[in-house]
Amino acid sequence: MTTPSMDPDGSGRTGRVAAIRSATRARTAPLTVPLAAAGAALTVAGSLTPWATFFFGYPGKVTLTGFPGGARLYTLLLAVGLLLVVARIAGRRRAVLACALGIVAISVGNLLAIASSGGGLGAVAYGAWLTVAGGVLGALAGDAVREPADSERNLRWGRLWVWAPLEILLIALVLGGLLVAIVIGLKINESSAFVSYLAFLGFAAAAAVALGAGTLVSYVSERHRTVTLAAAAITAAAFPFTQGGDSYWIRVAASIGVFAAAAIGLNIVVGLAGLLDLGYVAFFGVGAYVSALLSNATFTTVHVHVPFGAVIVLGALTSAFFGVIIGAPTLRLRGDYLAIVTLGFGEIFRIVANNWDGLTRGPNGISGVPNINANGFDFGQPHTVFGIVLPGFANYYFLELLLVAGVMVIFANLNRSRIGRAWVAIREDELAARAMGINTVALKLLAFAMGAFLAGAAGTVNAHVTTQVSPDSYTFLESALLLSAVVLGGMGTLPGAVLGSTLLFVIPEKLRTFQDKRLLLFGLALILMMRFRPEGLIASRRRQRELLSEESGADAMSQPGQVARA
Amino acid sequence: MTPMLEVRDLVVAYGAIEAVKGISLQVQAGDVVTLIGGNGAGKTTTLRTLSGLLRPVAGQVLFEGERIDRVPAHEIVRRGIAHSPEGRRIFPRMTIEENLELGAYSRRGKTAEIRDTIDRVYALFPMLGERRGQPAGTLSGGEQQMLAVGRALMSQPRLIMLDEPSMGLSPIMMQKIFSTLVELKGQGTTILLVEQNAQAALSLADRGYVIETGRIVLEDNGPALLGNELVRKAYLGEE
Repeated sequence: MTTPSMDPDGSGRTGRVAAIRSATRARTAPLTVPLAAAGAALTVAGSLTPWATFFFGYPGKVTLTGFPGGARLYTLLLAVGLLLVVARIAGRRRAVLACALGIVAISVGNLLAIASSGGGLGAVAYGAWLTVAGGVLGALAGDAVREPADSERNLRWGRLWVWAPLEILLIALVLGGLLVAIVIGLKINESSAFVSYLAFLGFAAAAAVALGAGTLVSYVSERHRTVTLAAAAITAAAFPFTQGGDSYWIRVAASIGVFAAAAIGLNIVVGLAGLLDLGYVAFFGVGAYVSALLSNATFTTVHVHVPFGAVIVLGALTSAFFGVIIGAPTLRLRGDYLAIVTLGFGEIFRIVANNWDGLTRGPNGISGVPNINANGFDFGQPHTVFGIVLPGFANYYFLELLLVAGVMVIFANLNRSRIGRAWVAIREDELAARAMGINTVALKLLAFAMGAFLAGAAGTVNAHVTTQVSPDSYTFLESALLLSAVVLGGMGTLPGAVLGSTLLFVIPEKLRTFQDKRLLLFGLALILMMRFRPEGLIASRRRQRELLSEESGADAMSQPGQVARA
Repeated sequence: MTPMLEVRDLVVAYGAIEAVKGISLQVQAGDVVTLIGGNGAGKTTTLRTLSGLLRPVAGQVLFEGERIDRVPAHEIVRRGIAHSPEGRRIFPRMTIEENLELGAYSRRGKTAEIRDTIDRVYALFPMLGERRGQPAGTLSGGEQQMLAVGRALMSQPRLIMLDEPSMGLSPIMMQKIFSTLVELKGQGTTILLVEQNAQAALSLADRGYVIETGRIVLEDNGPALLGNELVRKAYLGEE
């Protein structure tokens, strides 16, 4: 499609970049650069000096001088980012602010943690205070930077890269970096160190996005779709090889896969068709029960053993059937009312499962679900590939990858299809959609059934991963978590649902110390998201357009890249 | 000659409240027929019933000789009636072109022909073609109305029903919309026009109906209604 509004003044790039430069130069306070330099210097000094006065087992060797261990490494790295203030590039204001706030957040967080575990502020050494001060100075410097509207940076990155091999290298670097970042993160054991790491990644990413890295990556990955998809698949498949035969995180990753597949299914219902389903986990449960019952588990009530290939189809179809049963009477309801009814149906499923002793064994559930055995290939057995031992869970992980890939293909095709367009129309204006000749009842039912089908398929695998199913795995809380994964990651996008599921699984695993406050922290994170990035971590173009249009009307929408495609 | 659309004693109610209390009207093929009346007279309710968005309590609707009062909305579009709803109701976050493509939703699989119709709509409203990639929500009210009319044309209807296309528009925009309707009429499109702007609607119409609190109180050809004393007093603001 054409973008007639992309180049309104027709002056071309050079003229505009020059204009930005003079504008930024003129409007920045004179003390900005010295302020940022001082902030960076203080932060570096603080990062190389002790943060704790005595050794009491705090991670990162914080009593050593001249050694930036643990969190001090992150503040040191972020200090470099403060120097961006001298670069004449659009977005530097936000980038410098992100680095400075990162320094403040990490140093203050660690300072408090040291004080609380070391028995008071006496445990905090001067290095930590220096770093906090450095971060504050940096933030002041960042705040003094003035620059024009950030639409300019999209323009810049969108046209910058033209040489294909370099672009493909960039894709490889980004994905490889992601894998390395995940592997490093998973190896960090202490909660405080992990939080510091996460904060570092978050603020560094925010700085990179401010400079237009996100736009660049999305442009490049769109230009090389196939390469990006293949590279992403390879990166995901490489993960079990990085664990040195240890099964713990592979097991978590397999659970993430199940969750992500279900989240993508929910994304069809909520993100595309706009039907708020608060009982979605029930469909997941139907699939899991079907799978557990038909695989001759130790405590099954139905003594048959159906091959897994058939079970996954049966589970998905049963679930889709229930989707239609529930959807048919309720889909004439809208918005809040539909949400309440689906909430009720989710509870009905759980209560039935809890009480139908003859089939579901009630609250005990069905345990001892055996490993999948496909044509003699036992999913429980470890394998050695390229001399690296892959534990049994790796088999499930790979199966999950296939499932997620399959679900993604279905979602992407639906999204682009006539049906996907009709769903979006229903979400935007149901009456107008009907007037256009869209059979809204049938299409809403289809969305419901499709979501249920995918959740059911994910559920059948999950029964084998967790080796047991019981009613308390399918509470409202689980539905809420799935919905949160979708919202957190970005409604209507695929990578968003996967990222959301990953964060929701990994962070609680890592923050065992916060176990009881996990939901509290999580709720807080969601509130902050809604305030600062309502479109989710990875926004769909259309959704971004919707939210932008609500905020600032026409101006925001003449940004290139958002106008051009749907 | 059988009329293209015939409504017999139509009654439509929201719960216990009857909004349309037994109206009858006819639309001949090729004609422009207008339904005028004040707020709450039942105009929008009538149109929504004709396009299947509402179900009548009693009465019959015949389109090209067949009963359609129990036919679902999506099927009615397929049979050749397009409805441009009150308040435009374009899809604001979709682009202009996506809006038009949705208008052709009922013509599945005919990509090339749909493309032709889109080009025809762009010829009718060049402004839409120039901004085809722009989100529809960024258009002005009048431009959105053009899009709403264009979108209704996308299903290649034999009868197009427009619900207050002049609502909230500047006089210039209104003129533009009505001149488009004249152009459509010239091409032989049958139009059922619901309007509060009686002057503009009646000067265009072959036939007009005046509706008041759910009943037809007057019917005649357009020029005759324009000259009618009651119409002049009640709807044209003359003493």
